[in-house]
Amino acid sequence: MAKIIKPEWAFNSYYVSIIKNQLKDETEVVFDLSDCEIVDSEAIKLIFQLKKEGKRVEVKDPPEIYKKILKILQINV
Amino acid sequence: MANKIKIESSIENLNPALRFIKEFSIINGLPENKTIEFTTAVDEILSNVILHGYKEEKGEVHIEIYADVSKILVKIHEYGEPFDIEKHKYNPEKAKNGNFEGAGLKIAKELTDNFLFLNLGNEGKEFQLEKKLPRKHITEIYKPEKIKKEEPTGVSFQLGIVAEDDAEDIAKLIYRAYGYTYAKTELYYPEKIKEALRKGEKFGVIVKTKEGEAVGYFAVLRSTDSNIGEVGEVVVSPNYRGKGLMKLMMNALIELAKSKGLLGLFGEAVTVHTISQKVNAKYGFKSTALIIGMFPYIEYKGFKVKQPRISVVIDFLHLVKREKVEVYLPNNYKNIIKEIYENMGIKVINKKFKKLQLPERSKVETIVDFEKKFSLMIIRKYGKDIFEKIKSRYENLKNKGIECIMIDIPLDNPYTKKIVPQLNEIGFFFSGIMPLFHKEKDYLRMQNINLEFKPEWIHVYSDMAQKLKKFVFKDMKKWQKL
Repeated sequence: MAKIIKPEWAFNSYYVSIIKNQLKDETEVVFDLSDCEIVDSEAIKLIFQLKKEGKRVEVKDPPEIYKKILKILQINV
Repeated sequence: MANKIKIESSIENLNPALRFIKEFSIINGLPENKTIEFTTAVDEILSNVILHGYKEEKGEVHIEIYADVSKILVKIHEYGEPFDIEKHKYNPEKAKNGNFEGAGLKIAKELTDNFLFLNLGNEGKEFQLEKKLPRKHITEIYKPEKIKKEEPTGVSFQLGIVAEDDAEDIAKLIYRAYGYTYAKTELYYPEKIKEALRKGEKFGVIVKTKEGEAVGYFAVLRSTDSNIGEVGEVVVSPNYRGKGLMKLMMNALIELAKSKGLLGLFGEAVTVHTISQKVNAKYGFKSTALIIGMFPYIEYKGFKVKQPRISVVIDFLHLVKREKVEVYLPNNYKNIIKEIYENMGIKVINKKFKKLQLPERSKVETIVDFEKKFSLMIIRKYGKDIFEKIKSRYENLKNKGIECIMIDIPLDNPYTKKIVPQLNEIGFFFSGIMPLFHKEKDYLRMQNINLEFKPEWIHVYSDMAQKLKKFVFKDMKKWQKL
């Protein structure tokens, strides 16, 4: 079963520092960003790394800023 | 006034600080989507500072947040290890391989309207992030043809104190009188005028016809750093010029400034022509400085000499009498400074240099106007690192494309005698005196500009301004490094 991660307000360095270790053994992660207003590069980096490790990652209801950041960084995660 | 927060560089402090930035931005009129962008930009820098600024140790992070009618500005200052921003450039190809170095800086730059990084040597680093507040230009509210057709026709006037409700009339008046060429562009935005009046950042007088049509406006912009104000905004409707409105408004404005307890008024009079300087002189203002190329070039009706930037004369009017000043005058400027003071009717006592025990760290505030490409450094406190700090900021600003770099130096500190020759060596030259400009104290202004200026471009009126022009050009020729 997928591990569901639902950050409140900000999916950023602070949140990443809390959850990073909890995801080590997961094979499937869903990031539910429906309550999120802020997403930063540390969050994008985490999603990218999880995918690179071969985990199945889904990003649900991302806020506008998420798409904007991906555009700025010219990457697709 | 800036709001200041000091936090420990601990990641737990990130979100509380960001929530404050977000709320502050919304309260000051930044739309929701822009607020999110701005908070994200601050998040990137603040995270970076907290996670990497002090390596394994804990340190202090100073956050300042400030709003005016045009923008929101956040300054983040930390005292951690040196950092070379050029070595941390983001590369999307490297990111595809998992190397996100420089991503935060890239995002912060893209999500702000202006971004500045200052390497302060052993004073750490400072980041400045700016987001513009969106406001409607008067021509977006009314069609330009309609505003122009509204030229008043009444024959008798009445003078009153400007109220928030006058904001739209003022913007229309500016547009009718100057088209798009008025240098203080915030006056084309009624909301900005209203906000500045509401916050007490400016006060002024307005002349209306009996029918209630605005035909003249004159305002003082209060300094945020001293109890003085700038006679900075003036307009008379084209059909009403030559009818004594300026005199009526200036007299009322001086009385209003006195009643509000201001110690002085100053004007930044352009030198493309001498009209404003003549008006200032008529009301007792005295020239105290000439700043070369302070503002970007704009065309003035009837004055078409193209020059790289516009120079200004600082004219000052004391509203409270000052008999004498006791100051520390640098040797190479002592005679001209004495003349400036004496021209204002103030006796000067040049105090002798005395040896000082300087603290390790100095404090220099840096104000940057990215649009007008000028900056002002203010020496708040001398320390052993003062010269290195100024030099490094100067180089940073120059590399950022800031064309006119000014510095205000306190005249009540003995070390001023020492710092001036050092500043000369890196190209700073004399501008003049800025009376009561910071915390009600007098400052020497010097400047640095890497553009060529010709004396014939600069038109000055008063005898003192003529002397200043001669002295400034001589000093500029001596020290300027083109």
